Amino acid sequence: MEKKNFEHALKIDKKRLLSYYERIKSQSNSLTPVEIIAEFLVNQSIRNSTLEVVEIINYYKSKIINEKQVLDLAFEWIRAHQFRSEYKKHLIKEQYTDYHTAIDDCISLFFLEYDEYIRNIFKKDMKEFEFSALYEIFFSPFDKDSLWLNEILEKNKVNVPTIFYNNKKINTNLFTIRSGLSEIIQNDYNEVAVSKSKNLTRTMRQKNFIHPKKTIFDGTMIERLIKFYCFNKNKIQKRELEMSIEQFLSSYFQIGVIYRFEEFEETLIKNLVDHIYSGLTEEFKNIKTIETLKSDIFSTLSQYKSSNKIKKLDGSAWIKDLKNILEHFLNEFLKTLFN
Amino acid sequence: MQDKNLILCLFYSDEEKRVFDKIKYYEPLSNERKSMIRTLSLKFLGPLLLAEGLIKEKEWTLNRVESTLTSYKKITESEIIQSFICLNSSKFSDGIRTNLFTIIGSPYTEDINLIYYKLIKYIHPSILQGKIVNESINRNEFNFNNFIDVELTRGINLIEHSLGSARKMYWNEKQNYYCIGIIERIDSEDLKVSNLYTFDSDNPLKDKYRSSIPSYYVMAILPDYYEDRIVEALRLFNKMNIHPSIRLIDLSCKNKKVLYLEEFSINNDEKKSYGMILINNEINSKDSNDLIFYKQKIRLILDKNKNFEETLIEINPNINPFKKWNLNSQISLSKIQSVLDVKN
Repeated sequence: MEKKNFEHALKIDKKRLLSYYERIKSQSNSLTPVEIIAEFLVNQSIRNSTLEVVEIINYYKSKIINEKQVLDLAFEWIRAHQFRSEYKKHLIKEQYTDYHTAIDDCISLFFLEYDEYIRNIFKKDMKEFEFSALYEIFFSPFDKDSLWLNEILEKNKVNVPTIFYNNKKINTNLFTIRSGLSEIIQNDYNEVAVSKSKNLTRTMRQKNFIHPKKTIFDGTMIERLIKFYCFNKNKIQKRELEMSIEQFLSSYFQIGVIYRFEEFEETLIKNLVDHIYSGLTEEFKNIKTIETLKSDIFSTLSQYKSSNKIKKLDGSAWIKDLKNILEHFLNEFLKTLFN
Repeated sequence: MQDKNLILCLFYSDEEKRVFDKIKYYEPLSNERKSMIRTLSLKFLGPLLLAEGLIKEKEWTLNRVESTLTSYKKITESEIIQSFICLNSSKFSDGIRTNLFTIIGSPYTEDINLIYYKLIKYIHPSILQGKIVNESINRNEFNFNNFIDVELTRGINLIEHSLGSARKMYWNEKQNYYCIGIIERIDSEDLKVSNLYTFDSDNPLKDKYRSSIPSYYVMAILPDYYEDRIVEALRLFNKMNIHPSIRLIDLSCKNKKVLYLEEFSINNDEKKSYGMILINNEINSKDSNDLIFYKQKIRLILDKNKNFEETLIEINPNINPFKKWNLNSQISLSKIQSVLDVKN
């Protein structure tokens, strides 16, 4: 994205917003200043829960520089939503081969400059996990179920370090941006891909087009999650677990492509075993061998196979079917790891 | 884009000068060929390492080499590539340099600035920052080889995705530059000659602008050197019947910038080219002009047979159009080192 477009994407009508805010303020005598701002943001369709917004503003208001006010933070949240729609236009327009490239492309073209811009309103000692949490909050879609601050902060605290060398903070902003936004971009990408694939399926039917199938399951998120768990022994959030399984399955299954269970069973077991085993630290590798892992996953899938008539399914249906089974397996696996 | 028309390589040389690579090419390459390709990145960066030795100033960086490709014979389908571009990002930390270098052969005129932006602002920082973060999180468990493989895959995919965008006009192309020399190159079956035209050896401007470039010697050898390296690269990818012509070489050192801008023409199997050595630190001088001006002047000499000496005086009256420094032998190049690169 060119600089000119970036400035355009960041432009908000502050005058109009301010007059709207003043109107809400004059109608809400019994509310605290933060509650008024929260009410204002809810009215601007930023979120639908005032309680969530109050909690978030109360946390971040102490992080902004003295020259800025809490209302500026609210304006930045509105600006972020406007920026989100600009970035989504780009996502819809582009043809990516996978979501990894979509994430890298969108961060390099949009969020890198945004990061540079938004850091100016926060104090220098703000931690990196607080930035990644802020990005997750600012750029979440309006219809996301909930934005509970503590949950978001805790998750980011585990994943995003703030690193100092000789008392000097090392710039790790790309890691911070990716931590905060990868999941959001991936979800947006999937949403866009589904709508594109509907058109594609139609075209494929018309042209009798054969889509090349992918040959491996990518479980790098599972691997990373297990590694963190082995090091930190902190409870893994349900959402993280879900995301890692979703990434694993969607790296293989393609929407609109039909698969039989037999054709991917062996690859799935092998790739899942490899990634889980690579994630284990040395002390656990002695307990959980490749063979035991393979046999555990095999028996989990055998149960599924025995209770379900073998069928041919579209990629998205396989993701839906296998997601719960693998989530349950991984959850049980992590639970028993320290026993 | 047809895969067979695409050459895409990404190399990372780390603090210990180890080179890691990721290559995308439509057919498998033998290990021997791969290791030859791997040495290309070091060869491209070579002349500037030489400049470091010469002037004890360690920050000269190669940013890009652009060339167009011409076919002299009938070419195969897989040889239809139009642009050959090398982009490099060098970053210094505690005086140690890391380089991320990419070679792109493409059938289109690419939006090089966009790719370069991603290289310097995203792919290279991602490697440096990712290493720090992973070392901090994983400590002894951190496997650099796996990490760099993932990062180079990320980088090459992002570059590949960026290919095919139309070339745009950027503000820096309208910036003014000052010409400190012209290289004339004539290449035919019977004759291969290169000459440099610059300030007289006793002209104080010669010394004044010496520190604005890696050295007169390095600037003089670069066009031939890079053209040879590109030929070498093309041959390694079985592109036998296409030949490169340098369009642009871009170097920088802190806030200093040097561009070598070249245009060529082919008449009766004789290729003639003129290239300007341009610097950015006299942008307000009356003799400073934008790149379009210089391109037009060269085209007038090449296409309209406009008098070379007169045009050179129009470009910069301080350059002597009648004194040529031959670049075809080691003796004549040594003379440049001992006369032009040494202060009066």
